[in-house]
Amino acid sequence: MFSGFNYVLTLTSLLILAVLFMPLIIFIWDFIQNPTCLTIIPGEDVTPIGDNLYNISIVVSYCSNVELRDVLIQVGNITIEFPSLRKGNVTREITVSVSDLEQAPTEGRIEASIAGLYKFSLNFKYRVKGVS
Amino acid sequence: MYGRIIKNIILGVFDGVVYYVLFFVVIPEVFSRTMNMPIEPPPLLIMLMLGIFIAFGVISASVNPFIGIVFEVMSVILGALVLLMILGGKFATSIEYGEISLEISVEFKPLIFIIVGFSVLYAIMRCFERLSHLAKE
Repeated sequence: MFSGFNYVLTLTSLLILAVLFMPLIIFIWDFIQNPTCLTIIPGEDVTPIGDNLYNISIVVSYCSNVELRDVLIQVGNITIEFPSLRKGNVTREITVSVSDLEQAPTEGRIEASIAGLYKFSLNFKYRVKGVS
Repeated sequence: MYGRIIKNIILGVFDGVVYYVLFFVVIPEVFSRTMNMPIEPPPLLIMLMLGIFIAFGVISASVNPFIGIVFEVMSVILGALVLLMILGGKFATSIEYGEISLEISVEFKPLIFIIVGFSVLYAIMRCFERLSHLAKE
């Protein structure tokens, strides 16, 4: 009786682990194959909407088949959030002020949850020459 | 009598080595290869864990089966704790790419909890299996 249950338990655990592991493996594999899998491209449409405020369209391109959830992209003072991000391009309009654009952002971060299971964060910092 | 003692010791060592290989070699190696990150536990910890797993295995095989069950469960719980300690449920690294520095971190706690959960379930199953054998005897 127990040996049969043991086999079922082993098979179930291996199956569940494989299912849980798969999004992580696919995500890492996609990024190894294409390091520019997630890119943020500022669009060309800039619309002035008021005093020192502009609407800019931003295109976020994502290549992996694994869905990203709770995506937060922060570059300088600009923050973009997506509840979920699937393969393809997403265009989002953001409002920025002139002061945001005057100074080139030197740091930012991307936070997301891979398939809603594994939290992933990437912080990047651009060191301006001559500044430590 | 000596034959039985030697048999129990061999069985215990085998059990200990199996637990050690499973929790300290196989699972960390799978994570290491998947996440593309080196996992190198300190050599002292490796020797200590191997010793503890073998000791638990030998005690579990040699003593009264009811007490043996306790040591077998302790082996599994220790294995699960070692996994949590080595892997930590989080992988973080930093990369310098020209003038850009990147800090990447990935949390894989759900996977660790599932492995620990199944280990505990498996230990409970082993307990019932041994208890049912004892009841038959």
